Amino acid sequence: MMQTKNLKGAGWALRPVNLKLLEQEPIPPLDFLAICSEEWLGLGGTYSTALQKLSDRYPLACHGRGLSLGGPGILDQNLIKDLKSFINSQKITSITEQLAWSADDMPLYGSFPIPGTYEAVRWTASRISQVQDALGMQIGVSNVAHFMVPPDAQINEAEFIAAVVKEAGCKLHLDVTALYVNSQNFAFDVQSFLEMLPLDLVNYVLVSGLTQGNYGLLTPSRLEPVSAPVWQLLANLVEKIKPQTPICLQYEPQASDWSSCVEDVGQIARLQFRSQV
Amino acid sequence: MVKDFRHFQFEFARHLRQPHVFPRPEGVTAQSVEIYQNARFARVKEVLALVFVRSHTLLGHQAWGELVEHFYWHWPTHGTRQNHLPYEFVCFLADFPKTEETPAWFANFVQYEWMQWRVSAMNVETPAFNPTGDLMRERVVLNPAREDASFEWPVHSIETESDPIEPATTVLWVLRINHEELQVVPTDMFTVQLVSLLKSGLTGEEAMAAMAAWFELKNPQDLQAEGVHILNDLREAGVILGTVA
Repeated sequence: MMQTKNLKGAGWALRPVNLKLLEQEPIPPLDFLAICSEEWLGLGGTYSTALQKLSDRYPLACHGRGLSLGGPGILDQNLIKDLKSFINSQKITSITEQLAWSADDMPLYGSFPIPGTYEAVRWTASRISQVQDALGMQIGVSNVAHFMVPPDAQINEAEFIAAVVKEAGCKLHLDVTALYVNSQNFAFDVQSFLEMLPLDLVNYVLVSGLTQGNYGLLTPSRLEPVSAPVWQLLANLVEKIKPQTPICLQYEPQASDWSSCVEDVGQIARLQFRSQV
Repeated sequence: MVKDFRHFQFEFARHLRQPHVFPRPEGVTAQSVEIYQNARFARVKEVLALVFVRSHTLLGHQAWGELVEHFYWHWPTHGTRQNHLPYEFVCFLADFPKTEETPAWFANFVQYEWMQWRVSAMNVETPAFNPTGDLMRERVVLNPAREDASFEWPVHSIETESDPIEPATTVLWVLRINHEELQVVPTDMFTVQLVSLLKSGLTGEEAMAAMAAWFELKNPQDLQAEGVHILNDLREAGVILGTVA
């Protein structure tokens, strides 16, 4: 099985709509770019040409949410095939998929928590293994923000993540903002949650902003800058995970506010540097 | 015994799609459903926003939001990919009954904007060609990054929602020039038909002869003489790249 090349440093999540931002000065000192596969799959022409040029300059990581790893329907083999071809053509070095479900037999345009049952662990891990075999590479699965706890749970979320990662033999990608949001919305202790996770298998970290939605619930938002408690949690996390673990900023600033993105990427780099000295 | 978790997922998915037909699964609150419906709707809006920037602006934020909401609730999607959704939206609008909120030309405009996005995102392979070859005597190479469509309205001239505009059959080519720049070229059905003959492998002369026979022209040689200018204009516009190298 092909191993992913090691990403490192600080990266930024790029959407097709933001391609032009990377032509604006100052360009943040990015070590890599991250893209969402659903947004780019099927986009050829000017989009793929632009992405290819960027992939010559930066290593590319890819986040996905369309495979519906814990979904009840059949795995979309065509999507996996297209993803493989996309990975090869764009020289993508790291693949993350949300540890969630997002489709029954058709996409639902949402990411839903997988019921925490032992059967769901086996089912999901088996699907992750199928994806890894088909792609010929190890993938990472990432925790997601959620707004309900599915009924009939036998284990909690952290136990579920740990069990799936162990059984599937995959990596763990931590979405720090999703973790913080869940800890606030469901009132659990984030440190205890982290202790249950296989942090030695974390090889990718994502941070974004957050906003308060309906019913006072927090929700991640890429339109907001990273908030102070999330920075704090990230600072705490980098002490616990392997040095040089890549950290991606998911922040889509207004075109006129690009400099704040530059600043946040710098903040990530400083945290990484401090954790290594 | 614990109920199959997949059974729950199927129940939940059905309820999300048709909440008035399928009941909310046990153990899920109305609040959770509402939050997830809002998140799904926001995602659909986000996907469409990438493609329909001008349509959104022309219609105004509120009317656009209501239209997308109507699409969200009433159009069963058929594609399994996110980037298929804009096409589904075009199909939805083609069937959507006209209302006072949406100008009569709006469905046409949305299709026009989708066509531009499609051409800009189209993967093509351009065969080798001679840019100065004889278009009448040799087989031509067409620009593969090209779409044509016929509209009931002059969609390419619409700048604002309040533009006074009259219906007029409008045939347009959308082309990608030099792999980058998008160009919109007004044309007519005669030229579209001519280009489809060239695409089938006929030379300029053969295509003109076929068109003359089709229109039962008394002097087909007139079309041959005019054909040189028509083909050169098409080369100038970027529809024809040249002849087979």
